[in-house]
Order: sequence, then C-alpha cells, then structure tokens
Amino acid sequence: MKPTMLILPPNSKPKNLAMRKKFRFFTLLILANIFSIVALAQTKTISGNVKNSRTGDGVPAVSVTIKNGTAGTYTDEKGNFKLNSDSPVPLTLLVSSIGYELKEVPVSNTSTFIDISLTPASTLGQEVVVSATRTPSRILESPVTIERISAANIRNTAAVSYYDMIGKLKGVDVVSSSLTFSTPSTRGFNGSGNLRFNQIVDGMDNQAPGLNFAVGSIIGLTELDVESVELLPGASSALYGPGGQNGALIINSKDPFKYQGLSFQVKTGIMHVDSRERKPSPYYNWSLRWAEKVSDKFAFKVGGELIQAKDWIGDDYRDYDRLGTTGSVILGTRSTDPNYDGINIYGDETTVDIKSNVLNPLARAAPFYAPYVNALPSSIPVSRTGYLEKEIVNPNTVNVKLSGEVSYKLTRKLSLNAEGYWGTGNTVYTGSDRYSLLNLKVGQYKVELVHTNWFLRAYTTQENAGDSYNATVTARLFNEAWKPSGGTTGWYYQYSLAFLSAKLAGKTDIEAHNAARAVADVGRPVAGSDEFNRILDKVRSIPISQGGGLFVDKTNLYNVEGQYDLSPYTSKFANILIGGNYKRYVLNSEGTLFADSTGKIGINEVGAYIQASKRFINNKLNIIASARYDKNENFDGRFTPRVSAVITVAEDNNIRLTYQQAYRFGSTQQQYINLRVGGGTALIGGVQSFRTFYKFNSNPVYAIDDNLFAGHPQVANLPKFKAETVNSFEVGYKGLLIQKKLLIDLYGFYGIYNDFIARTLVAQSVNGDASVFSDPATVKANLNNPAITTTYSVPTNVNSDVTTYGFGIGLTYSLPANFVLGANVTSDHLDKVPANFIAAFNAPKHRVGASFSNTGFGYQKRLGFNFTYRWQDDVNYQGDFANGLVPAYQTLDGQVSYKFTAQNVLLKLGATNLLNEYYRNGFGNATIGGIYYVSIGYNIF
Amino acid sequence: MNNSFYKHRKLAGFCSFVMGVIIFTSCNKEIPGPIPIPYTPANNSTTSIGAEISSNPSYSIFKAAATRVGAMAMLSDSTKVFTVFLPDDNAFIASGIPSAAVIAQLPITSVGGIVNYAIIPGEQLTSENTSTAFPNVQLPTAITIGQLPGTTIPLNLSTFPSKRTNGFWDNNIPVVTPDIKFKNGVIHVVAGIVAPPSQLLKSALKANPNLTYFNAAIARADSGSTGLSRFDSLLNYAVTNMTVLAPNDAAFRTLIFGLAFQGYLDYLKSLGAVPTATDSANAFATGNGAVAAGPAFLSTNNISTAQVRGIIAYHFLATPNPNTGAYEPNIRVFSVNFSRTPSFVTTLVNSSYAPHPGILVSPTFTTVAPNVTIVTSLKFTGLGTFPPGGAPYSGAPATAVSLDNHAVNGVYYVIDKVLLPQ
Repeated sequence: MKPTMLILPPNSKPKNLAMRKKFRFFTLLILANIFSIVALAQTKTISGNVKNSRTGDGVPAVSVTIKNGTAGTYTDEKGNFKLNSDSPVPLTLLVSSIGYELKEVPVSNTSTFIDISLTPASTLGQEVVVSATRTPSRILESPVTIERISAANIRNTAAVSYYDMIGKLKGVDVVSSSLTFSTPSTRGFNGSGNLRFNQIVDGMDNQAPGLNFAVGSIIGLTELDVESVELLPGASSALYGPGGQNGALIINSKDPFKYQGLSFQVKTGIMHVDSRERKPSPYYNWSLRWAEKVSDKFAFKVGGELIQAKDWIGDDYRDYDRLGTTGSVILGTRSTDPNYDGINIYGDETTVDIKSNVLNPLARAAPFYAPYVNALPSSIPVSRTGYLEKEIVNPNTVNVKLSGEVSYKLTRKLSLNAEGYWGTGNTVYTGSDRYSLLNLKVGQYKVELVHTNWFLRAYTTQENAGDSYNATVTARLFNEAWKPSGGTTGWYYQYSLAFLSAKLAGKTDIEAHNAARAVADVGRPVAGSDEFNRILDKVRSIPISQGGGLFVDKTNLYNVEGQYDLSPYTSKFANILIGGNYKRYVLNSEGTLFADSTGKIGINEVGAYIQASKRFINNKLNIIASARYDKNENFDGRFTPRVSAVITVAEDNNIRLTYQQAYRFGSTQQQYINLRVGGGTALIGGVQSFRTFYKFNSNPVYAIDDNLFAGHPQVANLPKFKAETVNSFEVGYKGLLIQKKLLIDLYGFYGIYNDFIARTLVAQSVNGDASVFSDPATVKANLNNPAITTTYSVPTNVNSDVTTYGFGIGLTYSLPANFVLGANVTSDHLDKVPANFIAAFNAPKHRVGASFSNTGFGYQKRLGFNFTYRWQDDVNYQGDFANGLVPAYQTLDGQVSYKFTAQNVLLKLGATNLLNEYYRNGFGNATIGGIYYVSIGYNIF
Repeated sequence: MNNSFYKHRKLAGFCSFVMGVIIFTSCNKEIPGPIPIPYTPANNSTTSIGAEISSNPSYSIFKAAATRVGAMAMLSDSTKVFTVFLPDDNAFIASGIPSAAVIAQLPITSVGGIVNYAIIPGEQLTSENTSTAFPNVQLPTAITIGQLPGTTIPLNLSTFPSKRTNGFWDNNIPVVTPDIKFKNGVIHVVAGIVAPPSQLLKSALKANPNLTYFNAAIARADSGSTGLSRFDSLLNYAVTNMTVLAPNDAAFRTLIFGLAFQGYLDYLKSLGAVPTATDSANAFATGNGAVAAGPAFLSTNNISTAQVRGIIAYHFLATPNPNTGAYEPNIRVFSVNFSRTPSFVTTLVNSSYAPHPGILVSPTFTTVAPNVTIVTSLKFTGLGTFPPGGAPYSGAPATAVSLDNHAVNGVYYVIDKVLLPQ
C-alpha cells in the first residue's frame, strides 16, 4: 500500500478520526459545490525550505500540508517545497517528518518564501506502521508484535544489503544459502525458501510461484528505494492470506512524489580476506534511484542495482549417512569411507553395494573365490567420487535489479500507479539439494488504483529459472557421462575388480578400496579442465526430465485484489475494512520440477477478509477483530479469525493481547512436485492424483521407520492432504519509560500447529514384491537400490499437534547526544513433535542481540556509527538437503560514517562479520565470512 | 552540542567496552570439519608378521626362505593383512629341510611356492572364524598362476583350511599353535610344510605307475562322451575341486579276475549246466586270461562302457551344486576333513541315482604329537542296494594305501579295492 496516509502527523490518531469525519464532510461539500468552489477558488503557490535546526541541512521528504485542508506536498532532496493551495490566508502549515518534532507554521502571505527549521526528536516509539492492521497506527499501539526498519535505519546500517538487516531484528532467524540468498523467519520453522512466512513488496507477494522461495533478497526493491520494512513475527494469515503462519514481511518502496531526485550509492568491498574458501575477491554493490515529480499529478521513479562478488561456498565436507531426505553426519573422509558422501560434495550420492552387485555374481562365476568373497562384509556400499561445491557451482554471484514506477494522481485522493520490478542473477539456493540459480529471472508487475479509502490492484509474478541446475543431480550425471556406473566397462565393475585384486595382493579393506578408486577414477576429468567444463556444460543444459541437471521453470502467478476501508461510513459503530483477492498459479516446468510434462497446471485460489476495530473506555481499549476465508482448489476452504486487544495502561504504554489463527495450503511444490532428488528419492506432491499414478493402492507403500528396519514393514497411512493451521496466542507490552528514553518491547507466544505439513518417507517395491522389506539384513541395501525399491517423500499432515512457544524482550535506550543502545533476548522452543516427523523447526533456543549507534554526532553532527552484535545458540537443523547441528555463533557488524553536508555525500566504512569468524546458519549451506567495504552515497534519504 | 557528546563519552565508552568484552571473550567455535574413520591394526599389536618372523629364532628357515624370495617387505607392510600357515623350523625339519642353508640350495621356484602357499593375503582367518563345515574352506594363497579369464583379477592357487572340534589344519597339515596375532594379521604355526600342488589331477594320476588300470578305465568311461562330461577333461580342468579315489592296479586285477571268473560261471548257469571241477579250472583260466590282458581288458567288449562309467563315477566324490541341485565333483576332501565317526559321502553316481547312499568313509585319527592329529588309516566301503532301491549290501572295505595326494584341482587317494556302486 502506498503510504498516502503517512502525511498524517504520526501522533494524531484521535485527530485522525476527527479528520476523517471532516474529510467526509469536505468531500460532500466539494461534490455539492464543486463548480462554485472552482469559480471562487484562487490557486496560490506557497514556497519554502525545511532545514534541520541542528545541522542546517535541508531535510528531504518532509510532509508539508495545510492544516484543515486537503493540499499537501513533500520537500525535495534539498528541502525545498512548493505547495499549490486554494485555501484562504492566513493558514497554517503542518510540517512533519519522522525523526523531527511536528511543527505548525502560520502563513499570512503566500508570496513570501518560508524558511522552516525542524527540531530533531527522538523517534523512539513514534513510528507509524501499516502492516499490523492494514491501516496506519503508531507502533506503540500495534495490536501484534511488530518490528520496523526505516530508511533512516538503512542509511546507518553496517549491513551490505538492507535485506541483511532483517536478520538482526529481534526474534528473527536467517538462513543464508549464499551471499545474496537469505531467507528470514520468526518463531521457528525456518529454512531456505521458508513456506510459513509471507513476504510482500509494495503489495505483491514476492514468493517465486514455482520455486517457492521468496526472492526478496535477489529480486525486488533496490536499497535506495526502500522506505520501510515491517516485520510481523508470528501468525498473520488473517490479513495477509495463506502462508503467513510464522510471520510476514512487508516492504514498501519510496513514493516518487515524496522522495525525489537522483540518488546513488557505490559500495566496494573485499571478502574471503583470509583465503579460507578462495582467494580474496572484491564485492561490488552499486545502486541508483531517480525519482521526479513532474507535476502535482504525475511522478515517476526508476532504479537499478548491481551486485557482483565471488560467492560464499558450502564447504562442509563431513561425511553424511543419507537415507532419502533424512540422514546424519557420520565419521568419514573420502579416503577412510568407501561410501563417503560429503555434504557439500556432489556426485558421491551415487552408491552401489559392490558385494551384491558385482562381487557375488563374480564369486558365482568363479566359485573357488566364493569363500574368500563371502568372508568380506555382507554389504559393501561404495560411492562414486564427487566434486566439491566450488567446482560444480558457478562461483560468480551477480544480481541485477531494475525497477520503475509511474504514479498519476487522478484526483487528490485517487492515484493510478503502475510498477515493475525485474531482476536477474546468479546465486545459490538450498532446497532438496543445492541449486546453482543461473540467470534466474523474476519479474513482478502491477497496476493499481489507490484511493484514500480503498485500492484495487492486479499483479503478476513471472518466473524463469533460466539456466539453473541442481548441483547434486548434475554432478551425478556428470559422473555417468564421463564413465557410466553400470556395465562390464562401467565404473563399479572396474572398481570391484581392482578391489578384489588389491585384496588378493594382501591389502586391508580400506587400502583395497582406495586402490580400487584410483583405478576406476583413472582419467577422471580434473575440475576446471576443458573436458570437465565440456561435460558439465552439456549435462547442465539438458532438462532434468530428459536426463540432465537443468530445471526449467516458467511458472507464473496472477493476482487481483482489492480493499475498502468502510470506516468513513461505519465509524460510529466501528472502523471496518473489507478486502478480497483472486490468485491463479500457472505451473510450467516442462516436467522438470512439477508433474506437468503433459501441459501447464493451473491452481486457483480465492480469499476475502474483513476487519473491524472499535475503541472503548475513553480510547483506552481498542478491540480489533479480523476474519479471512480462503479456498484453494486442491484444499477445503479455510476460515481464520484474529482477535486482538490493545489496552493503554498509561500514555505510551500499551499491553496487547492477540489470538489468531493462521494456515497455509501446501505450496505449489507440495501440491505438484515430481522430482528425483540427490539420493534418488522421489519428491512427489500431495494431491491425490500422484497416489493414483504411482499405484499406492495396488502396490502399497511402507513407512520408513524402525519397524521397517526390524523387518516388520507397516503400510503407510497417508490421509488426504489438508491445509496446515496454527492457533497462536500472544501477549505483549510496548512502552516508553524513563522520560520516553527507554523503549521496552516484551512478548510471549504459544502456538499450536494442527495438520502440520511435513514430508514423510515411504518405500515401495518396484515389482510389487513386499518381501524386499522383510529381511532386516537387506532392508537398507534394498532401500538404496533403485532397481528394487522406490522411496517417496510425500507431503502429509501430522495427526498430532505440534506446539511451540517463545518469548522476547527488547530494550532500546536513547542516550544523550543521539547515542542509542539496544539489546534484546529472544527464545523459541519446539514443545511437542511426534516421533519420526521432520519438523524442521530450525530456531535456536536463545538469541541475543545488541546494538550501539549514533546517526549524527561530533563535528556538525556529521559522524555516525552503528555496531550490531548477534549471538545465537546451536540449532539442530533439519532440512530436505541435510540434517545436523549448526553450532552456536556470533556476528558483529560495524560501520562508521561521515557526511559531507555541502555535497550531500555520505561516506561509510563498514564491515559485516567484522571479526571474520566463519559461521553457517543452515546445515549444508554456505560458510559465511566477513565483508569489508567502503560506501559512497549521494543524496541518501 | 559537542559538549553533550564529550559529556557522555564516558557512558558511550563504557557501552563500547561492555560490548567489546562480550564479543572478544566468546569466539565462534571452529567450524566442524570431516573426521577420518580411525582404522586400528588388525590386532592389538605393534609388531608385524614380518618383524616377528625376522626376530623369532624358531622361524629362521622360513625367514631365510621369505628373504630369498623377497616376501619379507610384504609381510611387514601394515597396509596389508595376512593369514600365514607358518612352518617353524621344526616343521621344516619334519618336512625334510633341516636348515636355512638347504633353502639356499633349493630352486627358487620351490622356495617361492613354500613361502607364498603359506600366505592367505587380504584376510585374517583365525581358528575361531574358520568354518567347521565339511570339508573345508577354500581360500586363495599368494601364489598367482594366471588371470581370471576376461578380468584383471589374478588367479591364485587355493589352500584349504579346516576346523573341527579337536583340530585345525591347512590342507592335511595340522596347526600346532594357532592364532598368534600381529598388527597385520595372524600366524598359525603348522607341523609341516604345506606344500603347494604342482600338477593337475590328470597328470598326477597318469604319472602314478600303480594306476594304469584306473587311467585305462577313465579312457573307456569317456568313450563316446565330449567336453566336461569326460572324466579326462574334468581331471584336466584347473579351477575345480575334486576328490578321487583311485584303485590301484592290483585292485583292478582282482576285480577283472572276479568279473571274468564269475562271467564264465554265469555263462554256464545260463546253459543250465551244473559246474564241474573242469569248469572251475576253466573259470580260473578265464579269469587269469582276463588279468593277463592287462589294462586293455577294460577296452574290450567283456565289459560295457556304461559299467566302467558307473564304476569310475563311484570313485569321484560329489555334492549337489547349491544352485542346480545336480551332483558335481566339487569338493576337495583331505583325510583330516572326513568325519571321525564313519559317515557316508556321496559320489557322482548320485547324479544319475540321487538316493544312492554313497561311500562309507571310516578314518582313524591319531594324535602323533601334542596338537598334531592326523589320519593314520582310511577305509572306504562301497555300499549299494540290490536290486537298485532294494536291500543294502556292502562289500569289503577298501583301504587307502596312499593319502592326500594333492593336485592343483583336487586330491586323490590310492585305494586297494575297486568300489562297486551296486
């Protein structure tokens, strides 16, 4: 939503109601008397300039409105404004901007240039947020926990990207797949491509409709165009629709009417400074924004950003015992485990039991060796030799973002906006495997009519996976393309013969394995060689469906939505807001990701919501009730309520209580994915047609659990796939204490998930022969043999409840001289989870954050700095790619800045992960070090 | 304005200090990396087999032999593992090699054979994990005699350790001291040299001057047959295991005399005549004549090919092929492998008549020295049913006059009677 309402003074909620009534009165009056007014009106232009009283600098994007009037404008990048008004003099200008005290300026003569000086004020608790109720309200009075990042915060951050700032917010966890691909979440259930967290940019859901991850970190707003980032931790479906069970992130761009002029920022840095992963390499982040208010009615903006660097690398080379999509870290290296499967080494997922597949047949042909062969272990699984992630995955991170908007004010209250974001780039994503997203392209385009009281919006998300490929699948196929695994000239035959020969020469088993590998790997292409590149390029250019590693995905989303604020008509009873949307996904992966080899798959979804709020007891109690209904064609319809109360216990001190329900339908992948992943497991969708296609009824699937390994297979119970629900209870307090210098934010929540969507592993005999599961000695080998069994990862609903709880406390203290000290402690717990289900909670039990900053001190307040510290506990991380313990880690980011006032240039010297202490925040993901940079920004507001 | 900054810089400094202390006192733990699987030596020992042989004076002759053929480095290699049926000096002496000096005189191929045939590479076979199943376990030695056809796998000569309640042998040689463990394997000290076979059964049988009738019988049995259904081809097939009971010439002569004598009497009986003393004398003459014909008698029409084939088949021990169930000559039974209590073993006769009980084998085990148990007497009793499927009868037992004649593809016993299947 465009922040049209933000022109209202931030602390004028009661007045707001009064003003609305007046607006309505004026509207009627204007409509009734429009011609006479036009005839009587005499348009005047008021000119002036707004300066910071302390520094004398011009202040851009300051709202200048006429008190009790409708006209308003914003200052330009130098603080100048021109306001056309037909109000009679004398009049009063209301001059307001976040971070400054509201000022009323009487104007008696419109021809005089007006110099206005605004006094900086503490912003503690003064911010206005929209996302909590879909209408503007003071952050202190928000009915739910909310975090906000303002343009001022971005200006003073040490993070290299505004998106990285989200991870420093209270209670937020981020999983970084790579330098530019990070996924935030709150209150647990995080992972790369989190499905329980909505991200909405300028009103558009920016989840890639086919890939199912939010693309906010790679496609979307450029840093210079972000006006605010609002984060709603916890359930949010009641207003934002399916998916927001663990939070919603609402990012708004800068209105071209308000933020004008040319801005640019050049960040140049260095990373990999200690050559741990690769040689030191530069980091570039250049961004540009140009907005122009052509007239009072028309404004536009264009922007662009380019990021270029050598990516962080997934370099966890620990040995992994994989079974389908589960597994655990085990002891082992390539030279000590013949079946070694390094986490970030690809191609070594291919495993064959050479005992049963080669040596036993050989012993049958040469029976005099049978006792010798029989004396070897009963199963000898051997993996093929893999390649390191840095050898298989494109090392160049490139991210290009382009955006633009035109905005036309049809009337003072009604604007027509058209906006587009387009981005492309290379990055690395972790899903069921690691993916090199190469030339990924995502575009989001919208047109909207925004009225003071309503909006109507249509947008589409156009996704194209470009040349992206699955690192595991590609590396495995690479090995097959170089030397096939099977056959009497195949790798495993050569290996087995060499193994037996080495045994017959006396070698111990492991020595014989290493000798055998050396023989079978003779001529193996060296990473980076011409032959290597030739095979790799070939394999990754062939779609997965045709036996390559390329995944083709051109899935699109179309969405139409509207909202009407009925308050002007209903305010006597209550403030009422209604809205609705229609969504259509068109899955198009040409059979590489979805079961759409025969044609595109459409999925329709409709939803509607209503919200009513009313204040009681002299405005000290505000009750807000919302409800939403959604229907997806593959799921039963869902109704979700939210009820919250805000109790004002004292001025600027509020207690909030909320009960809300949130839910999500399975993602498009959870509905229709049909993909063989690295270990050979078939990831399939939850819709009924898959079970029919794979004949689950006539050839039963068995749960892969302890019973199966004990030789007592149990037919898996797979009821109809349903939506997942969470019932969330939250209590919080936000208040200003100690002469409004200390902002306290407390919260506690309890969530109960029903029909929790998880994946479960089941196994099916290829030939319908259940006896392959009956011998405990061979079950595991059979499960790993695709000729005997197929393992499916099927989305399913957990019958029992999964519960979570957590709490947090945040303190922000405004010290004298503009110093601000912040600290927070948050905690999330998974309380109850049924056995054998992979919940992927992935949240540390404890986190600690601290910050110390100043946006202007020293000589002419030109100096600034910001240090942010974060520590988190270890996490027992679960994901489709790999599971294991992510150790506790800390990070420190810091920057110092200096402003050249006359030139309007901000110079920043900063670092993320200042101590260069490498860490991973997701298992199997990139290992992240420090980036040290210099940033020069012009006209950064 | 600046004053306020300076006024509060102490506070700011304090905050910075507290933050700094928190950060620098709590470094991130080293990111966990891969940990190799530790491989401990085969046994809890710091000595290799090679080092033990080198230093233990009771192994001086083997040391000399292994040194001469360059096997000491291999036996000291801790990336390898071995089972060594090691003849100590007493064993060498018992086998007729009294000193290390004699080793130097022997052809190097013989020395290599002695050393390498004692070694099972790549496996630690302890007495505990040696199978007690009949007859023994076949394992490769370090003697390579070729390559498995169509592969790169070496074809190594086999050895046949076995274990019973009261003994542990390699082939027919008793183990005196089992299970001496070293870091790269295990040593079993044997009572004598376990000699490697050098000939195929075909050549070995041909070369034995006491088996002319047996060889002639094989030739007769094979007439009209081709391929591996010929006994001759079987005996010449390197990669199999056979146990052959080879009746000596005297045994055949006895059989032929009996056959001719009985044949004459049966002939008279068929004419309805009552044999007279002259007839008896004639029968003797007929018998002596048949014997005088020598092994050639076995190629005459006095006896059918089927009869000879049946007799020969009864002298090849056979067990069912686990895959096809068909009886095949597939076991190599050393004398010590036979059951202490008289037991039946099946023969190739069972391939045409499965219910046949086989041959009753009665060994006599004697402990000639502590831990040295060998078979000192071995009897085979032919046993049949007459008529087929009818009442069992047995003839007089045959005694093995020569035991454990080891060839590349099997072992043969010379016996003093021809066994008749029915």
